[in-house]
Amino acid sequence: MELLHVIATILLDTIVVYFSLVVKRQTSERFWSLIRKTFWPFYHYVKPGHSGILSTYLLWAVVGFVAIFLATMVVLG
Amino acid sequence: MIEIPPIMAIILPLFGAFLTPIVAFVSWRFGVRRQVCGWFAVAIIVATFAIVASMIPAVLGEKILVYEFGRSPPLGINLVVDGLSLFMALMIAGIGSLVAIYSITHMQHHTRLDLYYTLLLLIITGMMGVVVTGDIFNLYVFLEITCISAYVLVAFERRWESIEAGIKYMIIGSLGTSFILLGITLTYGTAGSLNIADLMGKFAAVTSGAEPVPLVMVLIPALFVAGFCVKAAIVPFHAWLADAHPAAPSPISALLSGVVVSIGMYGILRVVYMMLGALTIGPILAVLGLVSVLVGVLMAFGQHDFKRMLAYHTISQQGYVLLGVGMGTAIGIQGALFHMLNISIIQALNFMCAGAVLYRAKTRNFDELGGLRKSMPVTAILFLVGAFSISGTPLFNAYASKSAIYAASASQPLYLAIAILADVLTMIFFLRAFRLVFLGTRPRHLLSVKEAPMRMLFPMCILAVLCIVLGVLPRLGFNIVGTAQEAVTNPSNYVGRVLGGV
Repeated sequence: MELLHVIATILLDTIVVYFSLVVKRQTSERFWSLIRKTFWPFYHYVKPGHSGILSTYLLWAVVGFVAIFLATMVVLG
Repeated sequence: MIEIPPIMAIILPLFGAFLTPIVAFVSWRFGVRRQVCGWFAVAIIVATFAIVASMIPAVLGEKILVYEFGRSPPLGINLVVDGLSLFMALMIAGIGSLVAIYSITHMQHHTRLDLYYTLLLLIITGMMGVVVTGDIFNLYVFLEITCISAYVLVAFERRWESIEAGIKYMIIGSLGTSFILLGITLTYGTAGSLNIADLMGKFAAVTSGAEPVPLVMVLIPALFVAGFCVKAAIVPFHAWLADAHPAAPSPISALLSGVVVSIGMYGILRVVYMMLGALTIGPILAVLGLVSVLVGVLMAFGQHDFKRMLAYHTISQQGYVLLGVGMGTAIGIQGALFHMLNISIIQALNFMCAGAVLYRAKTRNFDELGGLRKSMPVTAILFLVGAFSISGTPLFNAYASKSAIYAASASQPLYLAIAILADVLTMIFFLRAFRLVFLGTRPRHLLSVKEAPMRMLFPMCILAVLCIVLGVLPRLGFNIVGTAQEAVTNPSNYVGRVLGGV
């Protein structure tokens, strides 16, 4: 099992290294666009700049606390 | 051998912090080189590391060091060094020493270096205090010392971006510490004690399930979890990190991503798991960890800023640690602690590499970088070591720790699948960063770029060697965290030693 894990990881890493570094730029761009397309619905909302607005950050923190509180209530309740 | 009391690990950097302005003044008065402050800070942090290291034999001998002030616990204030405290203290002083050495060259062109090193030593003081205190209120006080120093250091360069990031960090961080303070208030109101060992005994009823849990006993763990998750930058409390870590000076980014976020994780282990005994909320932590793993790695995608991309990976890797902690098994906690150690090494290395690029190329924008392997070959190799390590590649350190976390979550195939997917994405994004910065054609404005100075490469090389050594010898890593894991999973020794046989 351990050996299988090691072999699988090495194989996966080799594929990733091959696509990321070795394949020519045009093919590589095609590879990236596939990822971009797959994650687009998510990516659309979390773009590089983040929301950047402090009130949104605070809202997430408060929502996070309420979610944890409710989940704790369910688990311990 | 002389036994050095644990208080020295706090007093030394604290006095060092207050002496730094005096050292700066004296060195200026006598026309000595500007780097004196930096070397003074290095000496203080290395001495702190030596003090902490001197406690290793005692703690490995299954002894828990207790240092009392005035009355005996639970009434007096005490410092306690068990396996978990020692592990964290070694990590803080070790990474802190390397960051201080790196700072000497990286920060040499900045002004107000006395302030910089004073704050650096205060962060170390605060973190040391958090991990060795045996009192929940003192933990809060030391946490505030750490955080306030960090807020100022993030804004240290006084650019618009860094000031904005510092203010955001301060406001979100204050919300986190408010959650913790409210948790402490309710804890004291409920149990009438602030001593962690004493509280461990009093909160044992929470896990027993013998009686209906009152609402306050639900609110207390929720407040502590939320508060420490803010400090550990767990999604959805993570937003400050992606602004603060890129905006801070690079050595401080390395320290923040390396050890300061781990303090939040320490809080979860010490307070939520050990003090409250709230192991039943493990699944909540595991889900939070998993969300952080996925959101962190996906948000790293498409970043144009080198350090911002690394910052999102800090969130993702903290998620792995929380996933291991949330699984609650011995292997899960062992994997989480080992991964915490690995991430402190790897992210310190990665941010130092980004700092070296920024130092020489004067930009951290991927669009303006490229082809630096020719001018910065050592930095390129060191970054590649960091990239392979963080992606959990065999023969690099995070492989063993992630494997342990995967083994712990094997009972939940969905968790396992998401964690492995995030691992592959991490590899992809790091190789993309490597390609954008170090491969391709070197732009005209980077033709004169040289390799990073030796004094910056030295700590980076040490970290890279640690990545490989812990990767080749994973058993060594598991042995290092073994005592800490034992302390977490068996808190009765802690209670017995502090309260004297209770």
